[in-house]
Amino acid sequence: MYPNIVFILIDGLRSDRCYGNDRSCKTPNIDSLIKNGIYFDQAISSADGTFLSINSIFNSLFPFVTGVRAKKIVLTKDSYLDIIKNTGYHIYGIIPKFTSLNPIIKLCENENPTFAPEPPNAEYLSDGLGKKIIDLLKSKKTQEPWFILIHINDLHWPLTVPEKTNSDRYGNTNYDRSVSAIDPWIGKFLDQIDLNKTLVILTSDHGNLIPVDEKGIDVFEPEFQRELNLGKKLLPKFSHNIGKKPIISLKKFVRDVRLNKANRNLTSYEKRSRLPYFTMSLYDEIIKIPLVFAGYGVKTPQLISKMVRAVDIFPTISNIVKLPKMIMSVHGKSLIPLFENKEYVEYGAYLHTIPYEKPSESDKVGLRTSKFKYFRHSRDSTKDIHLFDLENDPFENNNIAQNNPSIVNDMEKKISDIINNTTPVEIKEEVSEEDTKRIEKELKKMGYL
Amino acid sequence: MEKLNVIIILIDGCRLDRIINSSYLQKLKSHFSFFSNSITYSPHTIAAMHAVFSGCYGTRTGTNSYWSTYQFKKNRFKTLTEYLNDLDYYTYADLHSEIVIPKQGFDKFVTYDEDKVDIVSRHSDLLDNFSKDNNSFVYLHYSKIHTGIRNSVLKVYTNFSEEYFKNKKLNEQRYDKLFKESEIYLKKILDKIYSLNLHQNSLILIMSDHGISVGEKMGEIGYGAFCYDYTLKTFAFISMPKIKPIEVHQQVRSIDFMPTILDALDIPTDPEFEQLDGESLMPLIKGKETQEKIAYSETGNPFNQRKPPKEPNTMSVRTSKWKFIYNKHNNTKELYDLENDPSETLNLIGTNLDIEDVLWKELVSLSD
Repeated sequence: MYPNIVFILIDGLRSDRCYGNDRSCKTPNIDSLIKNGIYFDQAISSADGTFLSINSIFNSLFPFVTGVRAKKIVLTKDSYLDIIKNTGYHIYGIIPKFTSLNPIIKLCENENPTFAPEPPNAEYLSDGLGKKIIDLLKSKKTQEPWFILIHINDLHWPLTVPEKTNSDRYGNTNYDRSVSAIDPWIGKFLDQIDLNKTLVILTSDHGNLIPVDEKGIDVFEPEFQRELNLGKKLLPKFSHNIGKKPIISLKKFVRDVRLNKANRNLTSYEKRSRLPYFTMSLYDEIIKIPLVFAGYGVKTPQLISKMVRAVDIFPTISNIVKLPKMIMSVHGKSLIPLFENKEYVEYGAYLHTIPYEKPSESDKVGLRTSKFKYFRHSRDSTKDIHLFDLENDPFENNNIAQNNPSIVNDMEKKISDIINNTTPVEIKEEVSEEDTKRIEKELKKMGYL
Repeated sequence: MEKLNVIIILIDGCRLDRIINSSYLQKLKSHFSFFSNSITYSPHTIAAMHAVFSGCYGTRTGTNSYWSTYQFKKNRFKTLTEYLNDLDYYTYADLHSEIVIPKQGFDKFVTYDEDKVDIVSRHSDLLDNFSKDNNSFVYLHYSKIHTGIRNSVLKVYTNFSEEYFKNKKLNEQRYDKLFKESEIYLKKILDKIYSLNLHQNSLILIMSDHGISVGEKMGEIGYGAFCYDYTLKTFAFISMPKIKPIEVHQQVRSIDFMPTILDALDIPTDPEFEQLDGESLMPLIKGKETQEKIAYSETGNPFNQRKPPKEPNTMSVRTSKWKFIYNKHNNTKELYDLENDPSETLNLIGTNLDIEDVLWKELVSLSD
């Protein structure tokens, strides 16, 4: 009998909020899970946003295989979820209701596997979602062995701190306070689980920006509400939209002047923290994720500081629960040798920013090793080259690319090697029943049926 | 090069021999470069046009049959429309069905009722409203040949109706009437383009997706069953400002037109997507010599079924001299000497020709 698996993915949870001294959140339950499990404090996501990151985790492939401009979940044929299902696991989940997540949602056997992720009707843990998860975990309807995917969205922008933890006691930033609010729920979930026969994985898809002094870019923008109201009164209605434009430009201008002034003595890392939530970024605060394995198969709790990648998660799960061997070739490697303190060769983490609607100058591709972070313009290898010495500059304040062309070349070669040595895989382009019907209708209309 | 508009006019099901015999279309050669030997990836619109738009064979993109529009791997293959849309072109398609070309990248994707439409007025009006401010990409699909064949052939006969194959003359007349109408359409649309001076700032591509049988081979009343030249061999007219027209007899492939447009517009291919199978024809258009490429084609023969198969079962590779066909459905092969036997009547398989093995290897590699 295979063990059960609980996969908890906390969207946007930073690695440094789960472990270490640079945090003000209170997380006794996560701390206890880490203490009794294996925690990787140098785990690296493949992307700075949800879809590419999840594609990378579940396929154990870097995003260029499933498409760096994918705005939805793309599963390969014979992905780990397929293997899990075909092995006899029952898949259940509590997942944000995004159409783009449908390929995973569809695999869930429970009746109502989704929740509303976005305001104004967003369902947070404290508003009933936590209870819904507990109900699933203790449900007698679930059949063993099960794989339960819990995707928590409470840290997603715009951050809504629950009243209960909205005080200094729970953190000195809204982000920390929100993490503190999630923590008791993790404890309640774990209370429902028999760790002797359940493997628990806690991780996230990407990190997050935590504005220095709690002053994100928006704080510096004047409201000009009086001016806008005055304009509305004086100008005819048809001209309101046109009249608004110069005021909006002025607001942005004033914001940038104030921001530059406030940023004057800050480091690059601190300045970055004030950028808008959806800024593309391959800096560590966005791509470093927590990674805990606990329960079944975890014999010796330990903290591991070797760099590992999100693509390694499923090969490790597969190894622990002894899933049948993967047919296709993946980028991830099992982390079991690290569990057992055996020799382990570090593999580079390929990185890519998530896509906006259209290609942007901010699109980046890169590579991270434990020593260096390298990234540049994703379509032009000569533009926006960044290189950081992570051992001496962990906050990535000083771009050393210009003085280290050989390291840049080496990192560039490593990226090419990863791409060139990748075996082609078959992507599952699932056609829904509705689409098949539509095709039939069109073929009939055109005289082919 | 200045940013040009792009106009693609597709004459669905237009046979190459009719183009060559049309005095009006031959006159176009004074304004357009003419490709008289363009090989389609597939002798039916859906797979053929997905290959045109992506510059890649359906073996890689996922759209290799009538059924696989939604299996197009859009996260891995970037279409011409997406390239242009990324550069802020306004992109507009007007056609008879929502599944024949890839939809992604179109700002407006409009379908019409092919039985009721007056395509000439519709497309003329559309060109009248061509944006004067932004660059545009307009895809105009002329479907009336298809409509006529659907009504008087596909709905009436089966692929093995003796009545159809006995009356080749009638089949020719039926087709010629439909072709004549397409000629009138094209003339009116081009007149409109010239009257609006759109030719001065546009790249214009006029092409066909596949030919249509007039009863050449028992087993195929329309198209999509076989890989013979009367459906695979198509044509293209291309014009763009400041480029002198040329006639190109060399074999090219329909997957080459998308890279040609990118090249003409100075748009680099996006390294974040799969590489193209097609290659730019700009060197040929500029009068340079290039090496002929092998053309791969495939289709799904439905035989007696009124339902095309979901996967291709007949594939071919073609050079200007040879055609090699593999009928996967019954594991048979065909080899034709196209120079001496353009109608593909004498199968040379098993006659100890070295080319047989060479082309078989090419087919295996391209179909994989």
